[in-house]
Amino acid sequence: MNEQTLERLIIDEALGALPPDVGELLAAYCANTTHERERQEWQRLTLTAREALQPRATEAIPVFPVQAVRVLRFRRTAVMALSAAAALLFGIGIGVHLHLAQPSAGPVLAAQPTNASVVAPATAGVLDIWSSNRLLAVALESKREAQPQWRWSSPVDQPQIGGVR
Amino acid sequence: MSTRNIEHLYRAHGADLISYLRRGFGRWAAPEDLLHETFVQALRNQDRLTQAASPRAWLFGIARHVGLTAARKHRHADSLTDLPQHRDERRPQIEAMLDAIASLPEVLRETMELRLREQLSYEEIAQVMQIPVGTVRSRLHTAMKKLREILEAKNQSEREP
Repeated sequence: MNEQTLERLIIDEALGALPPDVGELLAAYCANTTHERERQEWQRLTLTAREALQPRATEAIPVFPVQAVRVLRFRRTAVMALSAAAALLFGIGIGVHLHLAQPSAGPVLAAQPTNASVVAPATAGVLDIWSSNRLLAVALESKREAQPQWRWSSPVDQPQIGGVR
Repeated sequence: MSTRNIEHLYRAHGADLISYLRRGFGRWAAPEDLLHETFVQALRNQDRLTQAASPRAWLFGIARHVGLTAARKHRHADSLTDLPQHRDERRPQIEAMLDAIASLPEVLRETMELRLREQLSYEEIAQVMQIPVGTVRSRLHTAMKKLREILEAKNQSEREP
């Protein structure tokens, strides 16, 4: 085995980063070679470092920050509610805007026939030359003119047509 | 991930985290405040906890970030990791080891501490420090070799008159 690779494996084993089966294989390999002493030296060194870095006692921790959690929850809820309200208002605003903008959005000329059609029967019935109202009015007028006009100037006289006796 | 789970993590890892924060960043801020801030950040980002391979490493990563932020605020350029105190009660070998560890470059010392003290795996250290796993391994190997060199040099100097 390559010396450098072997050294890396030995250090990894000392640091406790080798899988157990690989460690066993390495131990078996080193047992029959001169690397066993080196392996033990690395393990001793790591053990001393581990001991040196070990804390003397478990530290006491403060109480879990429940208040902070509540504040965070409240903030999160408030932010979500405000966002929802803002989105709702925005939607309503857009809807109102579209609703108000819709009549003026259409072409102006397109609206005129609608108005004309509403107003037309009143005026057009009289003004149009072929309208039924006008034809009816003309017919009634001519019929009235065609009928004889009775004059009855005195109760003792007989009535006369057109004032001619 | 609910608040109860975060509270469970607090109980499970709080002691290790406060110890880590005290040693690493205790000179710049109260460790209790840093721990508090760590869990506030954890709560804010608890969605990421479900994606984290190791909750412990995830919390250490947040704690490290919180500690570094506190350190940056105070603009200190000192080393990150303080070594355990009350050294006078320890054996001479451990005294020598503490001196050797103290003389290591900051990144090597921090990586080593996360491995040997906090017992994080290489992958977890990579997650905490946001570096590749290969870099973690390389740093640990370098740190070990340096320690060995320092201790051998010290032993040799003690033997010589």
